[in-house]
Amino acid sequence: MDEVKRNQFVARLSRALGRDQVPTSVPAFDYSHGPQETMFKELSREQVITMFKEQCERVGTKFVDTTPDKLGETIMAVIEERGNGKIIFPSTSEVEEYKLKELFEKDAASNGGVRTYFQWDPAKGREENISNTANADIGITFPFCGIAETATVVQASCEESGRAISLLPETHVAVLYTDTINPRMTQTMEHLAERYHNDPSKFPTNICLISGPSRTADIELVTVDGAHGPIRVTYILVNR
Amino acid sequence: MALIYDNRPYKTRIQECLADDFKVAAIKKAQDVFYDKRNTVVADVPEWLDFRAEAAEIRDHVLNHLDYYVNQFAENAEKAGSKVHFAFDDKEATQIALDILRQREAKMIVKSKTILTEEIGLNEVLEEAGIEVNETDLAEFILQTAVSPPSHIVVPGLHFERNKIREIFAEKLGYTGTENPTEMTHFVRGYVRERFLKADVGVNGCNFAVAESGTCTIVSNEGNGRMASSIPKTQLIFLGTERIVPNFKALDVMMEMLNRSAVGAKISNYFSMMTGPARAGEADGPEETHIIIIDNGRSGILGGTFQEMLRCIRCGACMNICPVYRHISGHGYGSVYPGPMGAVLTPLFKGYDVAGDLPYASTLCGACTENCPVAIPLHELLMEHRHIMADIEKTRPKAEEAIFTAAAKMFGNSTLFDLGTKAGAIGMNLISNKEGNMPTWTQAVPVMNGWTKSKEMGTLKFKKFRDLYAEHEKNKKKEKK
Repeated sequence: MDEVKRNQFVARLSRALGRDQVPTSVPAFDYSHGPQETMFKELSREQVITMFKEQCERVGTKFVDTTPDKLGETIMAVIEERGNGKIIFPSTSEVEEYKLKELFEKDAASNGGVRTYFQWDPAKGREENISNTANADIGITFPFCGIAETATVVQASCEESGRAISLLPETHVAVLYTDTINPRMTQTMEHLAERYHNDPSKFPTNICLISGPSRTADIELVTVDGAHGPIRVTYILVNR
Repeated sequence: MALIYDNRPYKTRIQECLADDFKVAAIKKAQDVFYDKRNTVVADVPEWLDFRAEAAEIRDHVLNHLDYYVNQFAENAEKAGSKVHFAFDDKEATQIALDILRQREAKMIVKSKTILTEEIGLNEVLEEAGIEVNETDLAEFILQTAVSPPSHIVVPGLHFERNKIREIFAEKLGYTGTENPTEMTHFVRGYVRERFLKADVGVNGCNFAVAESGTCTIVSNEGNGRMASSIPKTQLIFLGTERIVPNFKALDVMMEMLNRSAVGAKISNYFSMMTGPARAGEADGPEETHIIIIDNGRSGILGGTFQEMLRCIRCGACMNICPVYRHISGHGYGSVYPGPMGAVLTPLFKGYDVAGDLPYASTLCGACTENCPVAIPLHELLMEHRHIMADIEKTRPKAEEAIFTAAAKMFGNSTLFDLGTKAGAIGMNLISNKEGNMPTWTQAVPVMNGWTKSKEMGTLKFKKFRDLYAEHEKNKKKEKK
């Protein structure tokens, strides 16, 4: 950053605001009276999950319910329902926890090539990961939380799970624990602020709030799914 | 595209727009669709007006401390590994971008939708330097392919009907499919996807920049904003100085307002929050992120009569409800910022010499103000522009002043008013047709045809409301007696 330029730039703003120095601190904005602080606070966990599902139905996002012991099975069923093909999956802790890699390897050995699997592997570098993902039909990710009001899943990028997995394949399968679903964006933003201030150097470089497939209505306002990103999305809701 | 892309006289522009039946119908449909959808999602939030007040307060808080927050944002963005640049005007901004691209020997870039880069005319500068620029938002892609300016800020390609788009794609891109929107969208998907995967640089705008963390955010439904920020190795983010929020908490409130106001949806399909480039070890995402913070006239608005205009979050709600925009569309304004917000903003950026007509593109009905999610008093600011032009800068035609001075005299004096309206009634009744309206030949009379061309105009009556009222009062008194 060019400090001289920065100072000139900011000084212009200060002058416009009628002062010759940038304040060293400003009063914090008081959010406590905002409606977001109390909205949906009275809802039980069950009601929050119901709100998430109802919003999914309203906007046409598919979801399936499952439990941790049946997660592998459910993922296989969703892959089949979504037309099989090449599948890209991350190397996050959930993959190990649910022995998904083993499951996929076993399946690949016996399915006659209907389904092939690729794992996102930072060691393989940029080109190979992006190219694997660009060629995949289905991308599987594990968002860290959900938002009920808007049927949103919150996806952070990390070494083990790149931005491209939920973006390039035509189908995105998001596996979400129902106990991470917040009523509103309010709680997600609170969480992010806390996470940032705990350790800025570990804050995800990219966080995406995903609410359905990639969509456009730019031609005569006709809604079309699959503008640039996924054409189809399925949420797998894990009740643990 | 420059901020003002059509320099022809205002009247020429609007006459052309009014004559384009498809465009007028398309804009009407869009307004109606967005109006209904917005009202439905807003009705779902009984707290809407409280949110609106809070959103306006947040924006004011930021503007009143903008020097502090720009500093804070820049510091935190650099902490996160982004490189922050400052540009006083459009020329500096495009030069900074060009220098970055040249250093990286970039040949091709992909852009997601950003109106700020239209404001500064980025594409022209880059193309002149031999860099291939790809707009990737479907509407922007259509406009770029057709070489046409935007007619709306949220859905800029509304003025093209599907058959026309098919024709343009067939002629320029060798498209062989039908005019089905899904088929054409998926054709563009494939066409643009190739470029996403090959581009040297991705260009993004920024809806809100978070000062506490140096985060830039993008709202998008198509996912092209995600593409441009995930695949190319270099990322350029263009940020208008005023588009900062203090912290994550503020984002929550702004997002409550933005999506509902823009397209009548609770949320956009994607909301990306980018904090610096990818870290070592991440196999995608930009290896370097440059943020160019642009003033380009904003500091001149700050602290003045029009500061409230800087609250604007570019949702388009004001044009989605404006009766003038409904008829003249974005092209009537000739500015990349159309509608009521554009009619306030464009003269502030470019002066009354070139944009002085825009504040008159309003009926002053105030629907824009009412619909604005950050409560900008748009119609009052339009009045303020008129006031400055007429009374302070004296930029209006001499005849206008004479007419209004005379009118003020007449309206301020009951004898003159009576005389004038009586004379008017006599004159108008002399020439009126048998339905009691002004005849069609008056459409050829200058000034008068402003009224008679587009509607039936009745004549002034000999008996005025004041006479009727006096009669009524008289009768009442009589009855009492």
